[in-house]
Amino acid sequence: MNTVDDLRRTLEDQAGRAPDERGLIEEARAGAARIRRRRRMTAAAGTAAAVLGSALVVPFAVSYESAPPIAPAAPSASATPAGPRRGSDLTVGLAPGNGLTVSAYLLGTSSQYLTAVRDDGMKYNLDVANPGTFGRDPIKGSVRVRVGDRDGWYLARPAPRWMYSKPTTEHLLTWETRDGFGVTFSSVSGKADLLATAQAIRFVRPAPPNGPLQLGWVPDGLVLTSVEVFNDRKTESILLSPPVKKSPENNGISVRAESASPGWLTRWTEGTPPTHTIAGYQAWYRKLPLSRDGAPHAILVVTAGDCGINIQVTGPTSFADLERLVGEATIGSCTSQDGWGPVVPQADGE
Amino acid sequence: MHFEEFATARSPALLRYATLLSHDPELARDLVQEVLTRALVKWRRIERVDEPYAYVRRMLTNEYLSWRRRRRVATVPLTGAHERAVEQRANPGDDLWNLLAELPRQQRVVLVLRYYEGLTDNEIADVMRCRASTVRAYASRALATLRVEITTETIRNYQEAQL
Repeated sequence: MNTVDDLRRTLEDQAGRAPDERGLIEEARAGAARIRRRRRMTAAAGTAAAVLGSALVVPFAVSYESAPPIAPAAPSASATPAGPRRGSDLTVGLAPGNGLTVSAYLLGTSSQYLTAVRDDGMKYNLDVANPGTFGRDPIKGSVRVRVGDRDGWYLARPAPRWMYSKPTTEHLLTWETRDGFGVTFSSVSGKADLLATAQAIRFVRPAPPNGPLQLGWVPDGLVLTSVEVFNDRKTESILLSPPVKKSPENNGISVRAESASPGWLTRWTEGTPPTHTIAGYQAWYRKLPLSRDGAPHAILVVTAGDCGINIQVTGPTSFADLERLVGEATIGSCTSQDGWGPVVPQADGE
Repeated sequence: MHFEEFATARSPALLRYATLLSHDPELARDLVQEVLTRALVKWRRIERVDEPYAYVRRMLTNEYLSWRRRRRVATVPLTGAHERAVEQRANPGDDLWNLLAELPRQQRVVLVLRYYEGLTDNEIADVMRCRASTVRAYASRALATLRVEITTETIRNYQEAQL
């Protein structure tokens, strides 16, 4: 007869046969790059279809504009057209005076995600999908509600256990705006509160969010496809990639700004002296052995005040380009919001 | 948390967990690599959850269960490798480990989560998306197969899971 202790000991012993983790991260990066590339190509095909569709629909829709206010109970005051957006652009926000503070922006070419926290600590999530990327079918079990002058859907469901430490009910409100943006607003605060708080949602002119690192120049052939700014953690991550049409490869640059703690410095510089000085900042540049598709082949680490900048290059970008990218950037604080500004310049004509 | 930070810190634990599930270090590495790849793609969402490790472990569990269903393909070891494999099987001399290998996959998942990862039955139920009573049934059958004596500790776990 065995005991539970025997079983535990056996599991502990056999766990020691686990393989080495070396190379896993690089393989995951390469695999993720392949998945993203496939998705981009699929999305490009979908966008082409959507553009064709909208060309047929627009003449019938023009008479409705400008963009409608978004509110479940009573229309709110915002009437700013959303307009086209870049991957770095924010077209949605929360009206001031509601005790809500945006703690994180996660922006991509097809969606915008905001997390907001109210003064009392309640969290709200706002997910906005670009026109043509929002599923129009109501979520199973949802009920129809009015959102301003639009039909929306409300759903209460058990929150995924991995998101909350205790069993919780998640409330979702979802609708499609008149100009085709798909909005999902969710919280665990309760139905009435969610519907009331949704009145604070505003569509605004496309503009990049503020962050500690503000790019003044990007290498030719790259565009900003993703921005993540965590106001609470004072971090910023951006991804510069080639436009899909020009190249399906994942040969871009990822840039991350965060607090340059001693641990961060040790992790990225391994205690070695700086290899360069760029715009007065200490910099560490190293080339990595050529690896599989998607893995970085050069890393540039820069310290600027309390900010640590980590730039990983997966494409053909030269050191000279990286030097210019850092040299023309404005770098604020990564421990407070001092010196924060738009992460990229406004689009032409804005 | 940056994906790299998570992966660096948690890959060893994920590999150990996957090794215990799959009984095969090579398959364990494949499973973890597959899961980390998909986790990286959706990292923006995963990093917002309270416990990214719990989330990725759940992905790994599901991957193991579906991998076994999808891709159970007999492999023929190369000469030499085969001999080493035979040696490895003989070396541990651990009946319990060999019995574990014969368990149905859900039962194995339950035992590993309960006795290696230290989860309660309710937490295991959440990972496996089933009822806690189903977890207890799996555990009970598995322990019987392994001829593990039901002690007061086992009973205490059962009672905790009822709460």
